[in-house]
Amino acid sequence: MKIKNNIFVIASTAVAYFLAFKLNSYLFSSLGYSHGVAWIFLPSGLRLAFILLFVESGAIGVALASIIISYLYQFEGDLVTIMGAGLISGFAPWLARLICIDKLKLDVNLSNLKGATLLKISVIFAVLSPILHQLWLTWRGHTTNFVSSTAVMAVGDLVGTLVVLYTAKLLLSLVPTSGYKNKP
Amino acid sequence: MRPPIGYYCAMSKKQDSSTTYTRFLQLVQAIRDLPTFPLLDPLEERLLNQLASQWHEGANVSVLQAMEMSADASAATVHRRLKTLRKKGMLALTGHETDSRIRYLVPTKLTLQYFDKMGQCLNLALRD
Repeated sequence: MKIKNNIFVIASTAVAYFLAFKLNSYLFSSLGYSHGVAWIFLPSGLRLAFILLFVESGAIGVALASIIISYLYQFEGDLVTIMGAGLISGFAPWLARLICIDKLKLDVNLSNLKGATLLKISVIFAVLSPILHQLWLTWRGHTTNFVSSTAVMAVGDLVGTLVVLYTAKLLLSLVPTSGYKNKP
Repeated sequence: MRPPIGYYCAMSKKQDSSTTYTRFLQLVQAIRDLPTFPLLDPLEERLLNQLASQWHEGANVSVLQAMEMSADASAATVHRRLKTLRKKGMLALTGHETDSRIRYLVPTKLTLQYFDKMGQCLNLALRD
C-alpha cells in the first residue's frame, strides 16, 4: 500500500513538473538564453515544493519528468547526458534540502519554516542545481561558457521560484482565513 | 498484548500521510509569511505622515500624544492602528530617559525606506 502511495506521488509530481515545463516553454519561449537555459524557469518553484513536501518521492518524480523532457526536447538522443541531467534535476534539490537541514537548521517536517527562511532555501535551491547541471553539461561538452550559463540558470530558477511562491501567496491571500479568533 | 502487524502498517501509512500534510500546512504558512512591503490602510498612512512631519521637526512623539493627533478618529482607533503599525514593522517604541511610564514612537528602518520610496516616486512624478 505504501509502495502504491509512493508510485502515485512520483507519477503526480512527474506529470505536474512536465506540464509546468510545457507551460514555461509556452509563456517564456522568447526568454531562452541557450540550450535548456532560460531567464525564467517556473518549474523550479514546483520542484522546491515537491522536494520539501515529498522528499525522495518528489525527487524521483522530478528526475523522471526531467529525463523525459531532456529526451524529447534537448540533447538529441545523447542518453548519458539525458540521464545525468535528469538525475541532477531531481537530486540536486534533494541535496539542497539536506544542506538547508544542516546549515539553516531546517526541521525535516518544516516545523520551523518561516517566510524569510523559505527565501533563503529558494536561493540555495536556485544556486546548487544550476552549478551541478552546468558542471555535468560542461563535462559532456554541451556548455561552452560555464560561468554565464550557470549564472543565467540560477537567475531563471530563482525568478521562477519567486514567481511561483508570490503567486501562491497572492492566491492564499484571496482565500478567507478562519473567522475564529483566540479571544475569550 | 502486541497489536497485529497490520496495525503497524496502517499506523505507518497514516503517519506518512499526516507528515506530508503537516509539511504542507507549514509550507502554506511560510508562503503566507513571505516578506512583502506592508500594505497600509488610509488611517495608518495618515498617522504615519503626521508622525513623519513631527519627527522631521525633531519632536519626540509619545504614544499618548499620537493618540490625540488625529481629529477624525477616536483615541482607541488610533491606538489600534499604532499597534498594527508596530506589527507591520513600521513603528517602534523607545522609553523615556527618566520616566519609564512614557514611551515614544520612533521610525524603523522600514519606515525610512517607505518615505524614501515615496520621495523617489514624487521626484519621478515631478520630472514627468
